Amino acid sequence: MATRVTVKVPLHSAVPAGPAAPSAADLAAEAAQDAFDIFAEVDRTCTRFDPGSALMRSNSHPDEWHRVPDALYQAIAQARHAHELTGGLFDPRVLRHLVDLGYDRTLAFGSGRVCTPARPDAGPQAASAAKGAWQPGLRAATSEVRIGPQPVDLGGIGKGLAVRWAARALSQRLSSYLVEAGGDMYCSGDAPGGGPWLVAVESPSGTAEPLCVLAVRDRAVTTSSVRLRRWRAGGRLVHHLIDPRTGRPGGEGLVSVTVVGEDPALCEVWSKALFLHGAAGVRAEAGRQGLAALWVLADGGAAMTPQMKEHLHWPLP
Amino acid sequence: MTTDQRLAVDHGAGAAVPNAAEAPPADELLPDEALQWLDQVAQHRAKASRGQLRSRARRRMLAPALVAAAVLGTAALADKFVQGSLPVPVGSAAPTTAPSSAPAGSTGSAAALQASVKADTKALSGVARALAADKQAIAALARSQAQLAAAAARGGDGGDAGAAPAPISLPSLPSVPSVQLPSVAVPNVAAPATPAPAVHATTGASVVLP
Repeated sequence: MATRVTVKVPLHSAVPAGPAAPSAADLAAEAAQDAFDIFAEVDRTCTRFDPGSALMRSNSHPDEWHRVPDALYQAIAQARHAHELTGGLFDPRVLRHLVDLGYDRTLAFGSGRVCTPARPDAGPQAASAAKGAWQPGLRAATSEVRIGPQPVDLGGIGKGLAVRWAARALSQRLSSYLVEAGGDMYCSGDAPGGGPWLVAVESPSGTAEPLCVLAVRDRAVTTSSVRLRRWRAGGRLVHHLIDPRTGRPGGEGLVSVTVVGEDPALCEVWSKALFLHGAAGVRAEAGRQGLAALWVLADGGAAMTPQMKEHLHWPLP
Repeated sequence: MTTDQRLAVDHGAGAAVPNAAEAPPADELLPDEALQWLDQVAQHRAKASRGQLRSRARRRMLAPALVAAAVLGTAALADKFVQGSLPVPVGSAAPTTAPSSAPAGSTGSAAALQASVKADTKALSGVARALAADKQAIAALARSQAQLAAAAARGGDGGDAGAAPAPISLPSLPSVPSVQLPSVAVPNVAAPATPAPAVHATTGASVVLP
């Protein structure tokens, strides 16, 4: 998972224990290093871009039991929970479709021009093969998992879990901080200078001015967006948010979905699931789940739930 | 989420627009002089309308209450057409050009609107005064006509008695309705958009390292 990780710490948040204790700056640096280590561990164990990772070794023989590091075990357990929670819309088994579209390695999305050869459209067939609930095997006592029968991708929930665990580690030492990885973040306590943390929701057109600014405190903010991770596969414009029901990129009519909530991993899950409901269903599902959600439509419009309006800092409603 | 701000022109039925002056009933014929005066009124009205359309700041409408006076040939009634104008309804004030043009612009529009209303009130007061004067003149003419008729009936001076003028029957004039100006609310101009504040992070801009 090649993603930039940032930790911001207001110095008032790191209070030395005594005259001999490390300075506030040192405390902040130590706490941030703990967070970075967590991200590194999650990346090392859960990435699908390293054939030697614990996930890819399990994926190579998905029907077998594998003893895995705790981070991967927890990730698979959380992914199963997310799969049930979203009625199957969150489904790690979409890995096969991503590979079919050429996203079998890290792609240079930042360049804006990514083209891959696409395999013959196996979307409907693969989708039908993945029908039925995903039920991985889990043995907590021995930290063993059986992913099968299809290999899985934990990229999205892996990042959310990394943010969650990093936030927990930071909370051991700091009262206020912001930890962010690839646009997903958790904001704790007060921002520098007091007041809530201000988070800009990027404009889907990529302009400097944001779509809006949210004020958050002790909340996670996550966005699922197709602005960056899209490419041409066999000449067809595709993106990375695959609808498990069709095996093809989903979220018709939407460009992005942002969710604010208590847990970073659940926010990540819901931002994806809401996106896959498309423009036609996102409002109803967000309302049903009581989520603070904001979505941007392909035609440039945007809307949000009442719960999200409580976080709206700019422009003024 | 900025929106183009414009005032909606609301010409709702409830707007307190003065009623159109009642035209003389069709079965009463006005003297030619009265018709000539009315033609002049219409011409002046058309000219004024063209001038109004050219104006970007205000839209003027003639107060229909003007068409009531009759002019007699010898009466030196004011032939100056007094334009009556109605205040601009809410919403048709000069539109704000951009959200950032600001409080000063909107205050200026409101001030211009108020000035316009003031001018219109003054103009309509003038109309009412002119019409009242017309009425008095007509009444005076009627009295002198009556005197002439009476003198002719008595025989008068002899020499000119044979040329007693035919009595002129003046139509009864409709009363000039009082002009009630509608109250004008200052347009509520929304506050201009402010630039986005500085932020601590951005969501959605996932930075993927190669």
